[in-house]
Amino acid sequence: MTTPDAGDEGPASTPDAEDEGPTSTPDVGATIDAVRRSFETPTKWRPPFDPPFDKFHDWDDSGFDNQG
Amino acid sequence: MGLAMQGTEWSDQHFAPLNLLVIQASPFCNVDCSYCYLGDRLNRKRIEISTVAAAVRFVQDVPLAKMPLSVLWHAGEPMVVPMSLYERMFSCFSDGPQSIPVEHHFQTNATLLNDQWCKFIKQFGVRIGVSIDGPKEIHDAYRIDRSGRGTFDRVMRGIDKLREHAIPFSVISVITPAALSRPDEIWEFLSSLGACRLAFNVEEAEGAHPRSSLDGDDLQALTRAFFARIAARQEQTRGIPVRELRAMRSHLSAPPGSIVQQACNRPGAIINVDVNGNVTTLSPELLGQNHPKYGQFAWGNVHTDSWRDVMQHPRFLRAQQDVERGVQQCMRSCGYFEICGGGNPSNKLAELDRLDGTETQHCRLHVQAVADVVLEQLSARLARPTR
Repeated sequence: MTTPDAGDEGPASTPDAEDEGPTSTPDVGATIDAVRRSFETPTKWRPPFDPPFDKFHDWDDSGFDNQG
Repeated sequence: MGLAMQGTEWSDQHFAPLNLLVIQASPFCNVDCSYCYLGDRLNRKRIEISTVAAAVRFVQDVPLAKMPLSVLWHAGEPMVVPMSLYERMFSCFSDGPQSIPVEHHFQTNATLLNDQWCKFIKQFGVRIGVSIDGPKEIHDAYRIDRSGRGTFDRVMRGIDKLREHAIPFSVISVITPAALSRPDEIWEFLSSLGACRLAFNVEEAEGAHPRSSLDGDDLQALTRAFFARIAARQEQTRGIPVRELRAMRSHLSAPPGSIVQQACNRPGAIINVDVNGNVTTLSPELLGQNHPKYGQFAWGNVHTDSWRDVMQHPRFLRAQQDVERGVQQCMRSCGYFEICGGGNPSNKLAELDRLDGTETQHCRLHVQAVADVVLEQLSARLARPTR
């Protein structure tokens, strides 16, 4: 078993009718993309596996290579 | 990444390697925080050495993400269990043919810290996280003992001990309504403690705490303002690193299209073992809960089952199928998906009563609010002319 690549998500399947629709700001995805495109790809970056919001303790090894 | 479940079983390729092993040394806690998610914290039972040894055997079959493996003693106050028992429990990992390199972590309320504990912590290199919510008035509003008395003074005595012994520690602070309007006080206080890192959790509905006092429409704006102020102070002073801000900056500077993989919704990334040896994966808070649809969140026992048994347990498969549907729904419906990874199953269960739901208040307050702040900060930084 290996850590799945972050960039090869399979196609989305049809949502159930009972599931809730979008609730977040519709343009935020585009904003995230724009901000990300403004960075040069960090050479030390690796797919961010680890819980960025894990609440139990402070992870210090979670792919922060490119951040000071 | 083949996320969809095929048939009724999962194959190994659907699982993430183990990042964190959470062990409940005892459900008991000597503090009675009003927002605690643990329902059995008066239970003084201690884990048996044989259970820890069985847990070590159990993880032999589990692919590890890294060495040393992080072992977090939590889901109860770790220091209510005697040091002598920890010495024996630690040796289960370090001795014998099945030894595993591990790094032990305690997330503690710090009230029981004394010179002996500090010597023990140094001897075994235990990583320490202290839970403290801010100055006395803010901390004591929620972090109380069973007599209703605030615990702030006892926590500070514990922190003094850590400093006296030069033990590095991080701090996790829970954001409550008492804190939201006072980010400067909280920043100044937490920065003064001498911790190496800060982390902020939001008070959330979960487990035995079914309703958060941060449940209101206006609270996302207030929480965003809180994080904005913390981010500004941190940037101005180049002060102590803040987990949420640092992680979000990393996610927002990753190559376009990258998707954060959230350990709480990826089976295998976290394995949780309770005081009786019961096992789950996914969000640690699910362990021990009961639900009409999903039954008991215990999908095996380290004494009798293997990791493969857990992966094929019918209740796990039922839960995981819904978790995965929820993640897929998040992917389709939420603009923050790439920097979140699909939410936390325990929050979905507590807030939406289902694992296949999408956005929660926890998402709005702890992911989206932080993302908005860091997006604004990075956008402003990038807009500045370079010299």
